[in-house]
Amino acid sequence: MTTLTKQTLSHLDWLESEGIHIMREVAGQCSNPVLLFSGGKDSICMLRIAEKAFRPGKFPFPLMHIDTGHNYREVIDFRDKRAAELNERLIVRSVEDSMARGTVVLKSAEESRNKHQSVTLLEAIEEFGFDACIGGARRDEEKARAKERIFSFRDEFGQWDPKNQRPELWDLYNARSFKGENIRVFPISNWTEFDVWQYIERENLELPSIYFAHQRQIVRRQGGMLPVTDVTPARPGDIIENVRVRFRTVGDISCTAPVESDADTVAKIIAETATTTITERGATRLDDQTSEASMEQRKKEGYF
Amino acid sequence: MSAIENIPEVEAHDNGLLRFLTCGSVDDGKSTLIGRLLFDTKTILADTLHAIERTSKKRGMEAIDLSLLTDGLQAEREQGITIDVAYRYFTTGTRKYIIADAPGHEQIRATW
Repeated sequence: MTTLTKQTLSHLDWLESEGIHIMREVAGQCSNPVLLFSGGKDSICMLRIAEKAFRPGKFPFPLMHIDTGHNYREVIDFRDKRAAELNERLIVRSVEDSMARGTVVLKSAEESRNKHQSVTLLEAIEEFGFDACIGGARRDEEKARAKERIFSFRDEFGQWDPKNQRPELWDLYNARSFKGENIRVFPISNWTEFDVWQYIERENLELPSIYFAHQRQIVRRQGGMLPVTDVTPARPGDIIENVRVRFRTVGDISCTAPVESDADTVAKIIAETATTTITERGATRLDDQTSEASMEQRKKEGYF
Repeated sequence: MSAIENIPEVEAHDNGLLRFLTCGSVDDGKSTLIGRLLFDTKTILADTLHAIERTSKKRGMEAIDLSLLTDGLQAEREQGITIDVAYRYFTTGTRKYIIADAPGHEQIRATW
């Protein structure tokens, strides 16, 4: 006599199913989508969801990375390795090429290239004619992202209009657009940082080493730590310290700060994330701190 | 930050996920209620609280305006209204919650 046990869906199963559904919707509704893959933890989770959604077939979209030229070497190597393992097409477009073309002009040599990625992204969208870009942004990351639909419409200039978003009822998504317009899709919108790490643990996903505790030379500035690299050298008067740190979030070298940590395994990172008192992008992303509305502003200019 | 050792073994019950939203008329206090709920469930981390304290003071309020936790658009914060739905998350350890904070204005309600 078999005993029937009640099958309950864990929250990760629910979130994963939602992500799979969204990716399949994009494949069904859009003619030329692309998945933005940076090698960071969110896009690594998205690749796993894409595998579950489409394997044994190939992904119905290529992977793309907008490289600022200032990314951590470990993350770039990981990105290339992962794309090769999956045997999927990886397109890389560089902000430095836009700078050479003259479409991106930096105010100074040390200026962060983070927001200029929007220009390169829009150029790549035009080059390949992509009508949808799937990205790994989450609503809990930032207050402007909390306001964005899962299928976020962008006009022909790539601009986000927060006052003109489409209704999203239950799981009905509208990806219709005219030529030149674009839809940004965020399958892991409802995931929190904690969910991402739990998923990484459950699926045994490999990550770039900088997410785990390691020794690094840093300088303390503005209440946070900045890594000492060729891109961000120490200024005169800075005291260089060698500290055990890890990166909670990975932008590029010029805008990402590590946090002090001893967590060198996923289990320890989960324990740390559960007891943290600072948000993931709070003190660690300098690109979010330019103004109170910096993310909203960047999105209105075409940022993903 | 000290090393996390001896992670306690806790039996995890995962009751899944619950989504709920706020409904009500203008200025009923929907966003503020959600802000307070997030505060009470210790979902609000130190830097976010500090940021909204700063913004509240800048707007001339004595107490922290908890509706700033959901009203993230610049236009919303300036006018003190909710223009579009905001999604916030918290977990109690056994269940994950997704909150949708809706606008109350009749003219805006139709679009989401």
